[in-house]
Amino acid sequence: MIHLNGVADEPYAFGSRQPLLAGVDLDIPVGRYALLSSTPELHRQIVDVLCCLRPPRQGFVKHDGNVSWAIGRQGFIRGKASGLSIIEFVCEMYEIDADATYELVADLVSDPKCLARPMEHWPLYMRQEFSFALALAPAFDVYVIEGAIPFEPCRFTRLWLALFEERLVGRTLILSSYRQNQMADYCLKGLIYERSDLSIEDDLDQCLRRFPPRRSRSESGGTGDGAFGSGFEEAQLGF
Amino acid sequence: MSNEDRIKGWRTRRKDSNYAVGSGVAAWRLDPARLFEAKAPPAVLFKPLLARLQGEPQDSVAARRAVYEAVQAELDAEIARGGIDETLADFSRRRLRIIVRLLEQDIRAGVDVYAPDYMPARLVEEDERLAAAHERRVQRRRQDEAREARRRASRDDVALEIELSPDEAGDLAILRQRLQVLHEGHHPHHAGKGRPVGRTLLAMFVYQLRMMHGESRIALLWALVGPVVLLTLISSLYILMGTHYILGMDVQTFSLLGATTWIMFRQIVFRSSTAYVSARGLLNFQGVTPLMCALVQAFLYVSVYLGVFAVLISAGHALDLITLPKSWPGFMLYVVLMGGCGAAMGVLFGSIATFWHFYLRLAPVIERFLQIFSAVFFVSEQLPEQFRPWMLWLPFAHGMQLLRSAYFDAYQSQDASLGYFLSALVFLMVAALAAERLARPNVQPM
Repeated sequence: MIHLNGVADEPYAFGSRQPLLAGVDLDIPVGRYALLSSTPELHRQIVDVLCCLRPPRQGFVKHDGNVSWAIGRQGFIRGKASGLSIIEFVCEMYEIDADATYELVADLVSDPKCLARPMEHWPLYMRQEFSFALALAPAFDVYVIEGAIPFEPCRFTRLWLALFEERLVGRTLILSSYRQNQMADYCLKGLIYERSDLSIEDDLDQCLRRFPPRRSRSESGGTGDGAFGSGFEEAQLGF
Repeated sequence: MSNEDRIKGWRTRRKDSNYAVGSGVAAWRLDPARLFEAKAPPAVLFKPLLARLQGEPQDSVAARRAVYEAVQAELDAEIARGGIDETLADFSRRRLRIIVRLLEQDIRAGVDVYAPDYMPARLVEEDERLAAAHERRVQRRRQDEAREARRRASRDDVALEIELSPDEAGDLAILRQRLQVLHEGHHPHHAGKGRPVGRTLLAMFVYQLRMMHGESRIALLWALVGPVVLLTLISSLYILMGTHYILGMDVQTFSLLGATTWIMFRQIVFRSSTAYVSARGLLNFQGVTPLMCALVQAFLYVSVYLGVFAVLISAGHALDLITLPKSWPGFMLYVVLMGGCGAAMGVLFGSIATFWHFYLRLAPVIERFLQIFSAVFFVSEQLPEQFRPWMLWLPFAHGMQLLRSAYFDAYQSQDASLGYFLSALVFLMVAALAAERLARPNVQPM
């Protein structure tokens, strides 16, 4: 369960401050929710706040139970580190057995040989599979998925979905996606973001008609801020 | 069909001398087993139809229509009897209609339809089109059913069972066991209290070490090169001017302490401020904060440069260039304190950079300015009296002079004040943490 207490936030996005949330008080009980709004560009920032990845400007977010990270986001699957080091990192943080996790991920993904290679060289499908496979390892009670749930007809999708659906029984799902079918398939209620406020609506079909999901327009442009201060590292010698 | 017609038909068939009663049945009877096969050719329907037409009066349209309707009725009866599903039944009916249409066209055009290998010209093509459409309908219905099952499972909050091939089912069973092992001992009520900070820091530290290891092992060697070059530069300047001892400190060791400590300081400032603003991939994990990213970098570089000190001092001592410290722990404590200053500066710089991205480009300029007046190249006691107070504003100058006092027997700094240094350090940390608190909601995970 996620409780939002007087949450107000205005993050910096797309070159200006966005009034994201204003005095939101909301309890999100166990259930399956589709995050819907007329501005999917801001879903990322909302998910950050819901998952406690970034504290809001005011108020606080409280979690009951283990809330996942934004599954499907590939922010940490980059750079020189290999998949093995991320697996160890996650296992160390969540206090789970690293070997068992490694075996789980390696058995699930289509191309386990990639795991030992630096993540920057991974093909796109590998990144996606890895991010979804790894999210099964910690025992989460709330699953927050940003992006499409795997749908290509392949071994990974079938196995992952089977495991995920078993895990999801009696737990919470918050799905932010542009795939309307998936929302209708997996969700029962709408988590509506409208006029800087979040609310829960019971009739998902009606919500989907009001806020037909579309692809976020920001995805091709990146978040608008590139690498910071990359120009000073040449001075490593110190004279 | 009148009785006479039947007799006429029977007589026609009887013209064959070896005709036995009932022997032509197979030719015109609809075979229900083959009629509704998925891939049955159109001939299963076409041949019996033609055989019947041949056996019946067929010279008028009305007579032929009677035959067609009889076949149609029989087909419907077969469908009803076999309980054929609606899509397939529909497909068979459409097929019959096409056959009738094409056959009738040919009959009216005067084609000899009773020739042994006769087949309407477009029958195969049209039938294929029909079959493809049928296939699509079947697919769509299957998808609809799957979707309905999926949604029902969501509504009932149960896991949807999907059909898997045997080896995938085997894999799934193994994976299920693995998950069970992994999820053992998890209680939802105990979770959610936040992750222990120490554990996360340790995990991040190990991760950074792996990154360094993966990046290049030569980077660590490079950490030695920087101080060596700078210390050579500083000592050669002094030695060229004929100075071999500064206030009782030998020039090489004096330069080594200044150069290595300062390079550590600047590395920590730059690395931790960059880590604060741009190591945003890891922020996707709960419990990881930008402050932790910065501190891990600082800790990493303090450890690296303690190693560098150890290597340079022991190697230099073996070559008779460097004197050993008076007190190892005192000297190392000051190195760590300088590292702490660097970390605080780094967090401060990083926080400023979240509001003003360009700031990190200014950081090297600021650092260079500090370097000149922070007792790297000279200590305040070397300066004329009237300039000393200016330099002594800088807490880093105090730190560096205290470090040298702790290292050398002969030198005891008169100007440096431990109280000033420590309170400046605490002040810097408080300022950094306050700035961090303001900047934190602006740092978004990547």
